Amino acid sequence: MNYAIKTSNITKIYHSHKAVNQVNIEVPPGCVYGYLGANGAGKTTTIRMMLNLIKPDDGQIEILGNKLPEYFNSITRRLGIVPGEITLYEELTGYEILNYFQGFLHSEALLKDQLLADFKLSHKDLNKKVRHYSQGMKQKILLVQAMQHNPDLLILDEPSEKLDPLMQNVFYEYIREFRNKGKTIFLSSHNLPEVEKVCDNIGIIKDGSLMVQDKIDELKKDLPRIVKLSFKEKANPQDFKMEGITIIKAAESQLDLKIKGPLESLLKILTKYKTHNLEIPESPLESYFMEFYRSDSDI
Amino acid sequence: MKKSMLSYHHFKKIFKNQFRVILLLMFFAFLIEMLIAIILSTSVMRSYIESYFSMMPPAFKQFTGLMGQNFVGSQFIAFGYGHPAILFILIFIPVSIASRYITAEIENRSIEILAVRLNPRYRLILTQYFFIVFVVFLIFLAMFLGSISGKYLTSLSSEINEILILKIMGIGFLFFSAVGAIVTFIATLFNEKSLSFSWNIGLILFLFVYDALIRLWDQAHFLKPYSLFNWYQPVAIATKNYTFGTGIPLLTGLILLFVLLAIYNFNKRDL
Repeated sequence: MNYAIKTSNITKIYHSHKAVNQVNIEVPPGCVYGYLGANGAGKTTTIRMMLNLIKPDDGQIEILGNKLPEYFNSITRRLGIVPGEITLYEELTGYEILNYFQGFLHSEALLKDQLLADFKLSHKDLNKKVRHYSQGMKQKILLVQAMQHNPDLLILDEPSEKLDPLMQNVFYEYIREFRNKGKTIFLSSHNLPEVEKVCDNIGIIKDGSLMVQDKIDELKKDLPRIVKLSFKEKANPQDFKMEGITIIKAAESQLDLKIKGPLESLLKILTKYKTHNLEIPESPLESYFMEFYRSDSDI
Repeated sequence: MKKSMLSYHHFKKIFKNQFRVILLLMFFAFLIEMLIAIILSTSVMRSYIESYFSMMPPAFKQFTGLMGQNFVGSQFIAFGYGHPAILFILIFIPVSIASRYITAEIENRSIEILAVRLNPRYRLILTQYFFIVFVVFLIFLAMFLGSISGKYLTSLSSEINEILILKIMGIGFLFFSAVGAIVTFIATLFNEKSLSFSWNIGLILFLFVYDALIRLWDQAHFLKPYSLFNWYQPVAIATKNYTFGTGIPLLTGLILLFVLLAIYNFNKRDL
């Protein structure tokens, strides 16, 4: 199978610390791939290797079928990127920044006007120097510069972090639109709901190692979810002991359960009780992710 | 699509950023050289300057190459091209440009977009270096125009020799292009603008003090050919004591060496 991004055992070592260790990422074309990990897990280092900014100490990278670093030059025009923690040129205006980055491509910024309108960047804003911009506006400029030339592959490092919820939704719409046009999006995040919302595939990195890589739907099927129950009366934990249900915490009128599979069996038991509250605090994926990060051992 | 070695687009951005500063520095350089021509033409000021130089300690005179009373006008014109203010301008430009358009781009991470768009990486180095060379040329042009304007404003026809000035300009252009190559290489070594700036300034100061010491200390005279600043001595050019046969190949060699080192290091390093 051809992949839009394929890394084979890439490793990056900084002063004997393995920032990225034997990572194999496979991003099929036309999909949105969410690269999840806590701060310092190795997300940005992986992205920098994909962008030929840092060289892996070991392993190989292929982007859009081209091996890096030899053929990186032939794909740069097909890439749209949003780096993390970038400081934009404060002395330039928004328009100047967009035109500056677009100018290297010698092509038309096909989506620029549409993007500016959707991200609510007015002519007046764009004529202001970037030093007067809020963090959110700077992030919007970065997103527009990445997408304005309609690239085939978007590589985005925590792209929505500084956006307000309204603008996040605009961004998600664009991600979906790009995917529907057959383009590939690789985005790193530590925001699980975001990944769950827009991504088709997911990779989780922890301490430099890729722990999981799968389609989100496939992953969700097998994932347990946490259910917190509180009752108006004393609950008997023995009633809840059955296949697929694990009791995590039991108090007099409270139970925390981990449930694998459908909730039907639980609902049947609950008919026996006067239930005060039923809470599912995290999505299955979130529970999985959180548990993954809470524990030192692999799941 | 074949990419050229320089990026006109990137060059234009740097130029637009630096336009006002360059104009200001050109104006200063122009004024300094014109002022020197005016001093030469005014007998009162000239005799004042002559006596000022004659009062200076021998070491200073040795350093500047001007011996004081009855100096030749062309020597004084040449001194103007090596005046500390001019040296400051011509050194400040390469150091600040290299630190800002290489190291600061790395520090601010804007290099991440730039290195993808302005690929292969050597284009970034060459464009920035070409800009330094371009500005050095503009400053020398302003100095030349200053001398020539002074000549026509004061009717100093015999003492200002255009050929001599062109020779000084040529050597100066090569010398400061070599300085530009060295500071560009140093700028590729660091991740922080302040570090690049201080290392560059530190190195230039060291080389300057080293040159001053071997010039003033008789026993160290034999080290002169091994001093970088020895290869930009406008007064020595005026007094025909400059070895063009060594200076030109040496400075050209330094340019090639350090530009290649800068490209090699920038291509190899992690950004």
